[in-house]
Amino acid sequence: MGVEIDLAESLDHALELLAAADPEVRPVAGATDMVLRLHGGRLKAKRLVSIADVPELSFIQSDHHSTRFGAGTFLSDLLANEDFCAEYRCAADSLRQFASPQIRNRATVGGNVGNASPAADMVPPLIALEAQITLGSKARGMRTVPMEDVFLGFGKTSIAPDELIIEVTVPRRASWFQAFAKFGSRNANVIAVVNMALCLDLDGTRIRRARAAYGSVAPKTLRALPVEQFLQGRELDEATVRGVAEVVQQAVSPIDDVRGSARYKRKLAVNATQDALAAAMKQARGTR
Amino acid sequence: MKHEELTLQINGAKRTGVFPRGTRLLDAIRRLGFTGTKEGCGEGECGACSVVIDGRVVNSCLVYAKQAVGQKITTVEALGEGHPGGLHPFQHAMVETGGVQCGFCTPGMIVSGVRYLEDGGPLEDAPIKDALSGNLCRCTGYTKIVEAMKLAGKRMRGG
Repeated sequence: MGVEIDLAESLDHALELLAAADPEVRPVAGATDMVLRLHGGRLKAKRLVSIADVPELSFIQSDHHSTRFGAGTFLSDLLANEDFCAEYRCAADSLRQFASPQIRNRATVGGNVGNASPAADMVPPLIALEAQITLGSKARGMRTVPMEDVFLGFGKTSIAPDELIIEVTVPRRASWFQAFAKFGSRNANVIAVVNMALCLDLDGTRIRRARAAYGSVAPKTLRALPVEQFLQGRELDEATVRGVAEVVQQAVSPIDDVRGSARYKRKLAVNATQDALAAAMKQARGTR
Repeated sequence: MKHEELTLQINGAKRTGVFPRGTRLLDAIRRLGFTGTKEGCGEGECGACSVVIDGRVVNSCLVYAKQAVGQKITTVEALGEGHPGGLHPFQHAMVETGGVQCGFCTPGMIVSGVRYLEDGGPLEDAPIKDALSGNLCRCTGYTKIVEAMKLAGKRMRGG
């Protein structure tokens, strides 16, 4: 309580309000997490810059190569966009399992990224889809970076205090195999014990390219390069499904916490990967 | 603590109050007299504080009051307006099926349910349960609430 809130009316206005680069002046969109973090004393802020009603930050646009959407687009608007959900099926699966309808009506991808929670549900699919995020500041203009490069550790990002997450760009991925999995103690409003996304570019049953990302298994969402390297160029068969287990085991480093033991989370990460690969194999063999 | 004056548009009328900075929408609307909206968990888990902002159901405990300035806020108090007996068909159906026991979750449940029915959501178990998944009820086991949704939906659609 006691925090001052400025309502930004435009993108320029928002960047102006953040320009002093004061770490205690924070951008906020839907506020679904910010209210709790400030209330619980997990974050200190003397002033919030609300971007919830900045029109330039709420849009979904596609061309032949990619889809761009504003960091302030409410999750329910992404979920209601049929083209988006058909193109980015793993992201759509994550959206459907994201918190509750009420929270999806306020929460944004910008917030989910900016919080840098290792359990963030939208981050694994977006990393697996090779999303880029565009950050902007009044002093230095725009920069675009791969989403995984933004995260430094638990709750830590490389986003400067005067920077705002402006938009997300995702290359077209309709032709790729996509999977998302989330494990929790119930279906709604649950923080993932483990979540993961796997995207495969398949040539028949051969894996041309693979992208894999895991949540809740490390201090930040993990892009699992060893898993990707293991899968790349490999035949999608039973031996690959068996063999990936050891690679995932080694790649993840979960801890024991209230949501589950490290051993359990490691097992979930392995099982989810194997399930996704088995589904991809079935699909590839069926369409060959 | 510093205070500020906020004018909120609640159920079609402008209401002004003076609130401490950083006040949640939940606290503001309750202090303005709309006590149908309840605080359950205060963490966005239970949905007892559900209200509608510009057509979307949100947890009013997770929105700053100032962010809702200039937007249309609808609370449970307004949902029965213009309906026979001052009750929305879903409220009537909840009475009939016994969807209310202790009643604490009911206002939030009504807000989510009415929005879904007014939006023309399908009257099947899975999507209804999904629409109500942000509202916890510890008494009914949900069976009678889902029943009330279907009953109200049929009546609203002339079935």
